[in-house]
Amino acid sequence: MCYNIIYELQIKNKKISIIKKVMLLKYLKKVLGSYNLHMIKTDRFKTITIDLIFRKKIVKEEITKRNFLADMLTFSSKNYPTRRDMAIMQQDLYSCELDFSCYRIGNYYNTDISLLCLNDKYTEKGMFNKTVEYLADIIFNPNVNNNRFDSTSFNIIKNYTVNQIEGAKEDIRKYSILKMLEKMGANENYALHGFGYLEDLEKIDEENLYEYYKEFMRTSALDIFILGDIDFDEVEKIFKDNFKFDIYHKRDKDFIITHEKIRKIPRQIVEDYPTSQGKLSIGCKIKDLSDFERDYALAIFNMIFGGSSESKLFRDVREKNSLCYYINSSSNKIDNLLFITSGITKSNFKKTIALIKKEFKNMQKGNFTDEEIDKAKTRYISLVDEMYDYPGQIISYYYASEILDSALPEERKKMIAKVTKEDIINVSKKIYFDTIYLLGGEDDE
Amino acid sequence: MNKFELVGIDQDVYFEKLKNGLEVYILPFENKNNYFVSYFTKFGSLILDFYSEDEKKMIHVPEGIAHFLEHKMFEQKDGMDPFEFFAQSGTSCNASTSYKATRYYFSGTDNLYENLDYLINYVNSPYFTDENVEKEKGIICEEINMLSDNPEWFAEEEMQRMLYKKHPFRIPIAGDCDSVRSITKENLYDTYNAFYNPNNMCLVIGGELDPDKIIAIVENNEILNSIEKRENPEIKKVKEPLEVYNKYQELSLDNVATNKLGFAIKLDVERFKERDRFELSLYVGMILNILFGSTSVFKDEMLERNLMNTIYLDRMYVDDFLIIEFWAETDHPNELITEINRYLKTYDITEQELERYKKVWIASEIMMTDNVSSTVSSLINDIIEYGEIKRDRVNYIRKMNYQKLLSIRKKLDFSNSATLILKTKDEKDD
Repeated sequence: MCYNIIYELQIKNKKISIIKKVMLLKYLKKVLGSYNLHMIKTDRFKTITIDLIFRKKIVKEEITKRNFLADMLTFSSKNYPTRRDMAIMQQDLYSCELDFSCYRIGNYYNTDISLLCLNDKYTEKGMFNKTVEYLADIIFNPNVNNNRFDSTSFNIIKNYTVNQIEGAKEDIRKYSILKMLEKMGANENYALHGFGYLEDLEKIDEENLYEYYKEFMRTSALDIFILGDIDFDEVEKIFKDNFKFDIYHKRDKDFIITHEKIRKIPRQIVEDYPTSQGKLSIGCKIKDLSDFERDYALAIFNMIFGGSSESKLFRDVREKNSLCYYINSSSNKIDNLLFITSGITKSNFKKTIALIKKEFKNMQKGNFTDEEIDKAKTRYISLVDEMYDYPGQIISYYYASEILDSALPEERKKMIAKVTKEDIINVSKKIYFDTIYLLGGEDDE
Repeated sequence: MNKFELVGIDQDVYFEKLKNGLEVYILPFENKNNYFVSYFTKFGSLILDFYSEDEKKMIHVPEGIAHFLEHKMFEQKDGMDPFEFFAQSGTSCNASTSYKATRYYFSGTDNLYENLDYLINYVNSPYFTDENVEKEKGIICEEINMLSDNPEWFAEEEMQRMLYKKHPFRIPIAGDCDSVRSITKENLYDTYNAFYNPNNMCLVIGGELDPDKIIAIVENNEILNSIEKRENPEIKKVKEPLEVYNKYQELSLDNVATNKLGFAIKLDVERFKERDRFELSLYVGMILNILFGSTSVFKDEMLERNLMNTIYLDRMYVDDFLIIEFWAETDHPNELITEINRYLKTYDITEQELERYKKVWIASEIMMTDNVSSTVSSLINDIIEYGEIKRDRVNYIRKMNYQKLLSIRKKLDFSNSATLILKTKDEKDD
């Protein structure tokens, strides 16, 4: 299932053609009233991936509860009342892997429950069917008695969650970004803690969590993805039989976060923390990008500026000036934000900031070469191609297309080639340094 | 070129050994866009004393030399460095140093053959100057600082200092800032010349590829083929006592946010009289998996009593020791270690559990082959740990039997252990 396409790129003043295989994935979407069933057929994997993505507008007070619920649903169920019972069942299904993650996409919050299993070809006939039944059972028959979740499971997850929330401080690099975002906009959606809040955790009990489960099932928009060497009719029937909801969800499209207030001069904050290295996090706001800029030019800007070990920041701050081991920038087109992170010796703070600003100015002035642009484009295309080897990533592309109307992989590869130097400079002029934050680091003296 | 099959998972491997000793393994996949290539030397942070051909005597090199060398291999005499070269085809490249090996790798979707040729060239073309060596010191010190701020990393290193009295496992892979600052370009050349000979190195290539074309690239590479085979230099042997050096330690650290328990066991391999270390490791892994894995009764009990939040296990060979490590997130590390020690004296394993886990392990082997880099990495691990690829892995698992498990269980002695408790600062005096 593939054909060849030729990309022409200018590298080192000579035109080269890259011949690329273009993969064709057979895709079918069925709107089944309360949810969308997305089926992707490919013979590239020995496994089948099932992904349930529940989505709702983000509310700070709900994050902890929503995470707790996902943990609860995948920990035990009515028919498999202990963690161990579930684990044994999963092993009997040829070691299928049940997993979940909760994460924010712009103004929305996703609860993503996935299951990876071997195709029946490698196990026994009927295993896929059994696996879907098991997944449905987990979702529809939670471990509830008398309108309360099972206390044993509840307490274990509660302890675990406390540990997770407190432990978040140990990942100092991430913690520094989090603190920086709070300085940037304390009440903004982009500053919310994905791992939840202790004060909200205290309010959760077995009873109100069950109430929330019912609300969750009633109010979440749901997309279900199935990817693998599958038969569409068979899969549709299996899901129609096992996943029955009777509520219609309105589908909103206000994912993207925009910023009204832009600082003329960035704020600089230095805070103490018991680490030997200072963790630098810089937050920039992005304003008024066109759709094309957001989807394509921003990605190329970021790769040239700080998104690779080829980037301006890596070359200058690390290689030329030996100021750090890591430095990189990452852009989030849905939050309209760009971060720069690094780990430095505290006394080099000023020098590092000056270099970062200098490199940023260089981007705005157009001090980058066609070769750098082409390398970034080639890398972008390569990243899209790599995606075809990972079921989860393929699903992400189709999901993004579903919620953001963004282009599918092959279209993206064509569009990225159209980004010009002008586009990149224009993007750089729509990026504003907002908060420069340094956490921890030992003083020299 | 020889060809063999990884039994039970439908994967072919082509193998060739060049005259100069380089071992080449090629894994052709179907239906994959990505390829993954790793070129590595069986030289890691553990080797610090060896016989130098040039100086005709045993020499000592500063701690962290292997890692420093890894950084400096990215320096090339003629302009373009590896990052730049690989970026042209959208390929990502990197390198890593462990206790036992240093790896140079790249992954991407295009330009495989030229990239492979380049990888061989750059790893065989050292270019160290006083200036570029000096420049790297700041970068590496920041890397060391970054790692030292991570409590889990710190705990892992501290555990090695508890397990060993003399063994270089005590020394952090990257060394410390003082040792790094003392490294010279002469040290780097001495070490490079001693351990980057093809005879001490392997090349593993996986992806949708043509094995004949790959081997042609390797065999026609001029730089590689101009290097003559050399035997590895003599390495200073350390006689490490069996007994764990420091059995118990409790620390409280500023940047520890949640309490942790580390528990490691130093097993004497001789005691098992197993000729096959791979098989021994499988059985020990199986026992630990049943005891502490996802279907463990003990785990449920510890969770219910709030004595544990998560647990993670690892095992590896160090000379004639098999090391098992446990790491747990727990609010009550002292109670948990008591419970673990009690459990390790009294546990039971049923034949049914063994059979269920065998099925699970085989399924995981099949699932792994969906991912090129995982498959390649698993083979590299075999080469580093056992000196060869364990092509019969699935058969080994199929053949595991309850009687043998019980006999190994009988000889497992968990008493030679080290316990490390890490607490948050305010809990020290509880």
